[in-house]
Amino acid sequence: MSYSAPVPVFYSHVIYSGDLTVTTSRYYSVGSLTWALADRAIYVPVRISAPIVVKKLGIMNGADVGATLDLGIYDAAGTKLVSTGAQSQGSGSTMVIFDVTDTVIQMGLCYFAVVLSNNTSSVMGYNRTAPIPLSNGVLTEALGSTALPATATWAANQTNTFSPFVFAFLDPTAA
Amino acid sequence: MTMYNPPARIVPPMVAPIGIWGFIDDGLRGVADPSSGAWEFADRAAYFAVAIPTTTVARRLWWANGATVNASYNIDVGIYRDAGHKPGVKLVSAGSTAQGSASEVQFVNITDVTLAAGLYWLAITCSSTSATILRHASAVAAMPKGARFQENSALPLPATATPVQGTGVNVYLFGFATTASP
Repeated sequence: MSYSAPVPVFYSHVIYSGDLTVTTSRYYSVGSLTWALADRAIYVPVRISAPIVVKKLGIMNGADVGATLDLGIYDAAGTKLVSTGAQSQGSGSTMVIFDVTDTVIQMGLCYFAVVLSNNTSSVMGYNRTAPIPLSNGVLTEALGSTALPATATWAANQTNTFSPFVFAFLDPTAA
Repeated sequence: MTMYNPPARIVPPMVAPIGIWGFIDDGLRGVADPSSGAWEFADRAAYFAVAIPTTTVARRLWWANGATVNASYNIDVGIYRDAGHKPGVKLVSAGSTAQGSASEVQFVNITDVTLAAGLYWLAITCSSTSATILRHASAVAAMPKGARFQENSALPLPATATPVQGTGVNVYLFGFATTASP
């Protein structure tokens, strides 16, 4: 048993979207998963403990690539705060990092989002038994395109098994 | 992943006994995901402590159904005040509710309840040992004993808990949502 007492907040240089999804069984193994549905966005809740300035967003590719993707951050009400816009997924089994407009993210709950254009490419994250991602607060949206919307229209997806990793970099030199 | 993300005084959208505010987190570190398992004892309530770090609002109650469900099985979920490190007076509950679809999170809307920072107890009970819920079943009975209480003949959930420390080893995947939808 443990109690996580409040501590002073010091982020290092990166925040990732495993904050809440990992906790159902901490240290659960990371895996690569083929995107289940073209143009489906997945939104993963993340707690931000102190105001930050996000300067880049990134994702870890799996072995299969070729998609167009869009990465972003939304506030708790579903309003997009920043995104990369459509980008090529890049090389397999690497982390790809994209510049974004420097954006202040206030303390509180937000959602890290990602959408891929096909159902053949893969990215890294937690692959769980459905509906565990939903029980962690992971939401989805069928977009019909590969552009994250200005306002999310979230769905409680009972069959989604995937909680992808999206990385927010505070260091402008991350590459 | 080894990146550091400090504890935040921010309540997640889905609060459960298994997770960052549940006291069961560390004891189950490294085990597999919760899996479908039969309810342990008909009409028994199981109580689990959660620490709420800041004022929040419970807007829905929920539980994760397992692989075997039936509308004739009834489930109730609720939130109790702490009473000296045991569950005390009930704040809100779903009421006895027919089990819905298999392998889905089942939500029940409630009148919003504001919870000040502090210790609370999440409670769940079920009418049938044929019903299944997602849960961790600890191989070490002493571990969940330190984190849960139980009460028999407790469907629907009672207005005031009469908890006893039992032998149940299950930690269920259920709780409350701070969001009204989806």
